[in-house]
Amino acid sequence: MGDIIRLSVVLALICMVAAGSLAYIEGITTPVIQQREAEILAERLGQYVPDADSFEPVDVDGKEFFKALKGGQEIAYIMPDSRGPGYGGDVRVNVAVDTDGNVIAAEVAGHTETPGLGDVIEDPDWLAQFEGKGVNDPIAIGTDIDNISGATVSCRAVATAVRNAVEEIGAAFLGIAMAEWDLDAVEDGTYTGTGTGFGGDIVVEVTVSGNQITDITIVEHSESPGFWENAEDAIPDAIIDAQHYDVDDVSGATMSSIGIKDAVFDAIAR
Amino acid sequence: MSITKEFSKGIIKENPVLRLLLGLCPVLGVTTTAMNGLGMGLASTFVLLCSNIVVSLLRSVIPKKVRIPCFIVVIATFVTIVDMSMNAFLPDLHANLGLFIPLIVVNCMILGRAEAFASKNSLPYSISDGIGMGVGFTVALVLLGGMREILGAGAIFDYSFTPEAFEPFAVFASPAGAFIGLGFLLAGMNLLSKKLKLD
Repeated sequence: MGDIIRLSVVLALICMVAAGSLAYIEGITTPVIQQREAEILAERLGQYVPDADSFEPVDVDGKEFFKALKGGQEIAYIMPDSRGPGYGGDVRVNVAVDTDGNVIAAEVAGHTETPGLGDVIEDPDWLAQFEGKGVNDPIAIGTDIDNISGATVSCRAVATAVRNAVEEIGAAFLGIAMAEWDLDAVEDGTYTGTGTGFGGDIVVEVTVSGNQITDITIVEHSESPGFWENAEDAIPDAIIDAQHYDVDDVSGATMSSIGIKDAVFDAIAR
Repeated sequence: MSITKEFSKGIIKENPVLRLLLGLCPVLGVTTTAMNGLGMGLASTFVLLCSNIVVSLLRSVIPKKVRIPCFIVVIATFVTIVDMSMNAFLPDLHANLGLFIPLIVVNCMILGRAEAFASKNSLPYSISDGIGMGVGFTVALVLLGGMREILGAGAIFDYSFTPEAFEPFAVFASPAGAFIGLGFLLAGMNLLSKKLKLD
């Protein structure tokens, strides 16, 4: 019994000394680290909006944004770390949007894509295509943004992140309603929507009757035969069953599945 | 037993990487360049030296039954100190070594020296052992890192010296090159130890 107490006391004492010294070192290093990170962020923000003379962090519904100010006037908004699902995890993009809701700068802040393939999304020349795009643009690979062959999924992740940032900033600061999936608000009728599949645009017509999706017709696609049919057979039926666009993808036809789902979302929400 | 002997044994005779094959995870993982090898080597040396000092000082206090948890707490503390200090004051090196710094905790070379040496020997010998082993570890990492940087990038310590026409062996910059490079280093060490009749 005495032995156990001695063991515990010695171990606890060592842990206490360790914890105390770590707290002391952390007190010294944390301000230095935070100051450096703030400097890096400030430098990056300054590159996005060179006209701004100061930046102010804002918290909207738990999301972090920055307002770019010039002489007290808001001239742009920045959403750091907007995310899109890439090949190896989320791709994080910093997006700056002006007061008209148009992108003025997009930079990949971090990603875990495949070196040599997916990391081409860091290319500033490719990212420059996003500049000038706004809430009314599709911001989709193959539609108004060029793909980089060999990095389709990574490019798509960046486009998703930029579109997300544009919509978030529009909703938070510019009074532009976000595209939302709300069947109850949709009047009866037939709506056309576009999504991006593996081979290009997929156009669908969605018929809504009594706040229910009753029919989904594929109008146009250029997907690969042999794969496409699997998605074409399963996804529209699944969406009608679920009355929701977010259904499971068909294995072997993931891109086509996502394309159909995006098109249906586009038809109903936008 | 002499202090100089405890120091020098770590460099050739009982080199932790090339003779004892301890702590190979960081050896293979970070040695893409000589600079990374040097940084990792020095960080490990610092942790090894500090843990040897503390373990040696506490060797009569630490009960036999809980010695391994005690050693690990001591080692983990110093690793966290290195991690935080490097992040604050050497951010570029920290960005390169990233994931591997916390992994120094489980580098079996450090726990091995605490268990096999520092917990049984007095302070001066333990300091000498820690520095010697650390230097041996660092030398091995710089050798492997330098070899991979020369072959894989045509440079040494970021100084490019090869002519334009030299096409670097991309394999040496990749993890596979670490295994190949370590194989050659071990072969060279085996040759040397035969010559010196170490076995």
